Amino acid sequence: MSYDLFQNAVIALVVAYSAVQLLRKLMPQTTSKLQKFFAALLQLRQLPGFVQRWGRALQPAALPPSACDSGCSTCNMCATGTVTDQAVPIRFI
Amino acid sequence: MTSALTIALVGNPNCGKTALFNQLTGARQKVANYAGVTVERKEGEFTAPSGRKVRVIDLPGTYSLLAMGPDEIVTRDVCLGLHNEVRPDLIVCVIDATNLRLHLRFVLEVKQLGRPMIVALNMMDATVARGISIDREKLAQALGLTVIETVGIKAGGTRALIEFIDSAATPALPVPASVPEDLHAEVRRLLDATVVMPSRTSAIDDMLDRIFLSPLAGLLILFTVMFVVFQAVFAGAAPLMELIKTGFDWLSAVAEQTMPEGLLRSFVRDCLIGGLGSVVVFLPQILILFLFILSLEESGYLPRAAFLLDKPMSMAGLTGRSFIPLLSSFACAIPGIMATRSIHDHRDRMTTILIAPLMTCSARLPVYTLLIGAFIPEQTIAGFLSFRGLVLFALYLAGISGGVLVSMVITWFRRDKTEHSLIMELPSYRLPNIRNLGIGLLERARIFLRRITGTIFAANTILWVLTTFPGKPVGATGPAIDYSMAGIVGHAMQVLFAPIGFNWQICVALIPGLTAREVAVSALGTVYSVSASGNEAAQQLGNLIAGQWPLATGMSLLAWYVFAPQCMSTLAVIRRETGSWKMVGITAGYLFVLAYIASFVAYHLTLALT
Repeated sequence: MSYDLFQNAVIALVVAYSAVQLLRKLMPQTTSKLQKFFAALLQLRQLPGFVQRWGRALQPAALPPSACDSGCSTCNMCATGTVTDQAVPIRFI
Repeated sequence: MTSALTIALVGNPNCGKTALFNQLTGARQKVANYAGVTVERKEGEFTAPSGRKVRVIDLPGTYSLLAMGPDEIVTRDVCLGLHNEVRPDLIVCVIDATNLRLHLRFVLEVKQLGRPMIVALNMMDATVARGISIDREKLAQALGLTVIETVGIKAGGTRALIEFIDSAATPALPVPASVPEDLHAEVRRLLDATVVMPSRTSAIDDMLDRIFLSPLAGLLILFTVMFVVFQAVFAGAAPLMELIKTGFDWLSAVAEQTMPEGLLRSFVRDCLIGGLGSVVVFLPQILILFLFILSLEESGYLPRAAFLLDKPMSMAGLTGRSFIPLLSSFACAIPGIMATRSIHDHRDRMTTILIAPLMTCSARLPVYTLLIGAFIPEQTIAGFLSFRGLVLFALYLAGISGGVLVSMVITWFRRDKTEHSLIMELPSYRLPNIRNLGIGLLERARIFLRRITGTIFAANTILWVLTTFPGKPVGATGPAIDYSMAGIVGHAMQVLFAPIGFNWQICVALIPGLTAREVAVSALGTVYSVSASGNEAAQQLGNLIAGQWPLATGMSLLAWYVFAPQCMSTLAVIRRETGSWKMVGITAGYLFVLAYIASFVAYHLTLALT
C-alpha cells in the first residue's frame, strides 16, 4: 500500500514537471505571464512570510535581451547567461 | 572602485568580435571563420582586476553604418543610440589586422560619430605569421585614437584591452574635426604611412583558392567532402552506439528484475529506458557530424563553397548569400532562418526562409538512422563504401533538391526575375584549433543531452501518460494501449495517414514529434515498449519496427521526414523573423503537402517493387 502511494506521488510529480516544461516550451509568453500572476498572488501581504518567499522564488527571470527565445537549445546561439562567475575579477597570471 | 562601464564591440564581419567577446566574458557564443555568424546583439559581463564591472555588447558585423539589413540595423541603432538603445560608454572598434585596407574605412566612419572609442587591432598572431608589420603608435597617432593589439582566439589575448579598460576613465571624445572626403583615399594614406606588407594576399590562400575555387575540381571536392561526412557518420559511430545500446539493455534488465510491478516500473522501463534510451544512442553520430561541421566552419572553406554554388543557386532563384543560412540549417533550421538577416534583399531572404526547413537538421539524424538501420541492409559497395551511408547521403541530397525545386517554383511565380550578384568576403584559411573543436563538441554533446533531459523527457512523459491511461476496461479483449488516450487518437489519425502506409503507432509519434523531431524516435520507443509483450519488450526499437512494419512503411516515413513541418520552434521563428502568420501558414502548408506526396509516392512505389 505504501509503495503504491510512493509510486503514484513520484509519477504525479514527474508528470506535473513535464507538463510545465512543455507549456514553457510551446507557450513561453503565456506561461511567463501565468507565473508572474501566481508569484504576485503568493506575495500578498496578508499571506504568511514563507508563502511570500515562495512567491518571490516563483517570480520568472527576465528573458534574455536577444535570441530567438524559442528555447529549443539546439543552435547555441541564444544570449543566455553562459558567462563565467561574473563576480570574480579576471586575474592575469 | 570605479563605476560600471558599458562597451560595445563593433567592426566589419568576421574580424573576431565574438571571439573577443567570449574571451572577455567567458561566454561560448558561436564563432566561425566566415562573415555573418552574429546576427543579433549578445550581452555579457566581466569584472576587471580592479573590481570594475564591465558590460560587453557584441554586435553584428557591418561594413558601414548606412545599414541595409536587419543585422546591420542593430549595430547602427546601438552606435547611434536610436530606438531607445542606450549608447555604450565606449565603442571598441575591432579590426582584422591582416585586412586593414577594408577595416580601417569602417574605423574612420565610426570615428565620425564623435563617441568615445578605441581600436582593437585583432588577429595579431596571423599578422605576424604573414610578415605584416604595423607601426601601432604611428597608426594611433594618425587616427587620433588609442590602438590596442589583441588576439581573440588565445587565452590572454585580450589582456592589453582589459588593462586599458580597467585603468582608464572613459576616454576623451575623439575629434572628428576633419572628416575626409574620400574614406578609401584616407585609408590608403594611413596604410602607406604605418603598414608594411610583403604581399596583399596570403600565398597559401592563393594556392588553395586556385584548387577549391576551380569550377570543376572545386565542385568535385565539395561533393567529396559531403560524401565523406555521411560515410563517416555511419562507419565511425557504430562501435560506440553498440556500447550505449548494451548499456541500456543492461539497465532495462536491472529495472525489470529489481523493481516491483506497477506504474513506476512501467515509467522507468517504457518511458525512460525504452523512450529516452532510444535517442541517446545517436549521440556518437551527432558528434561525428558536428566534428565535420565545426572543422569546416573554422577552416574558411564554407564561403568558398558558397562562391562555387552561386551559379547553380542563381539558376534556382537563390544567391550564393543564401548558402551560409542554408548550411546553418543543417545543424538546426532556427539559426539558419535567423542568419538570413544577412541577406539584404527582401525577396531573396523570404525565399531562403521558406526553404530553410528543407535542409536536413541534426534532429532528423536519429530518425533517419533508426529507419535506415532497420530497413537498409548493412552492405558495402566496391568493398569500402557503406550502403547505409549512401542512403543517408541520398536523403540529405533529397532535402537539398526539394529546396532547389521549391525555390524554382517561387521564382516561376514572382514578377521580379532580376538576379542579384554575390559580393562576399573570402576569409583566410585557418587550421581548425583542436582545443576549440573539443570545446565545440563537448558543447554539442551537452546541448543534445540537455534536449533529451528537457524537451524530449517532458514530451515523452506526457506521451507515456497518454499511452497508459485510461487502463483497459473490464471485459476488453484487445491490448491495453488500444484503449488509452494515445491509442484512440492514433487510430483516429490513421484514417488520414493510411494511404501513405502509416500505422497508428507512427501517427501517435508524429504529435509529440512536433516539439522536437527526435521526440518521434523516443515516442515510438515508448509506444512500442508500452504495447510490447514478453520477448518483444527486450528488443531494440530498430529490431521491433523492422519486424512489424513493411519496407514500404519505412520508406514512406523516411520520405515524410525529408519534407515534413515537424518542428514548432522553426515555425515560431519564421513568424518572428517575417512578422507574418501568412508565411508560417504557407511554410507549414507546402511542407505538409510535399511530405504527403513524397510519402505516398515512396509507399506505393516500394509496394509495387517488392
